[in-house]
Amino acid sequence: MTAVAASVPIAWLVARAAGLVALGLLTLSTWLGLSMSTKLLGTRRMKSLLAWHRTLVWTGLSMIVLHVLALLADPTIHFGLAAVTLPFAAPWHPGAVAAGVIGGWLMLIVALSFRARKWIGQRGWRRLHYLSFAVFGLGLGHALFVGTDLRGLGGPIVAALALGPTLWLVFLRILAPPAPRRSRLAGAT
Amino acid sequence: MHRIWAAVLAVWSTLAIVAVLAWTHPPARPYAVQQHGTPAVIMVRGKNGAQHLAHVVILPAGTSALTTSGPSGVATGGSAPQLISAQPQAVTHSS
Repeated sequence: MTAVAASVPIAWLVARAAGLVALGLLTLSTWLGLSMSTKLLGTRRMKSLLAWHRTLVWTGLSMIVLHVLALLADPTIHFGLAAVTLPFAAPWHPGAVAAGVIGGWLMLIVALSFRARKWIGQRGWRRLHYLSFAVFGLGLGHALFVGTDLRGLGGPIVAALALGPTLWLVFLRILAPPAPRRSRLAGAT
Repeated sequence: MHRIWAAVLAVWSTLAIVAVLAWTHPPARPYAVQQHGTPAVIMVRGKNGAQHLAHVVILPAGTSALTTSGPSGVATGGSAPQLISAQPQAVTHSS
């Protein structure tokens, strides 16, 4: 039993699984954010949807932390603290790993911006929130280029599943006419 | 409440993926284990009709036989030859 446990690279498997779950949560969070932005899900449950949006972001960040800790614990790949926290410090696929590192830090900034909204203002928060697109792109690129489980046919399938609805929502956001503000309506009436 | 649900879902998803990965990609056996065969004793008849008992190691199919430059232990009346792994094992993760 001990020999079997020792032969299974549990840290490596946890790192891969946590990375995949983090990508899934990041994708769901992006979809939900864009759905709220386009008012696709209505405006009644906006508070609840925003709470879910924030929760998905923080849970995704937790999974990224687990992903990093598992990589540090893996005895085979020898990733140090610098390799998982500093861009281009990893000896293995430095560019693709850097995409993940930068994406993770940007995701933390975006998550913290929810709490800093009253200090940076609505406009500043909105501008900062555009970083979400970079986070999504970097995360997906990181998963596709260094993700062990997205090689072969799995990569394009996951990319299509994640990118398809995102692009559709982005186009909807750009092309749909902006909803009239309440103050304008109040002024008009 | 939604935070608890999200955390539970994330943890269970991770565990499920770990289980699937462990199930679908069993760890490769170490090189030394792969190369070890089954020891056996066979009878060899020489040119002059003399019979010798020879200690051999039957390797599994698909493995290359290792040769040594030294004299056979059986031929010199010594101990049985030992199977020595001549190649260093490269430890990598299998996907």
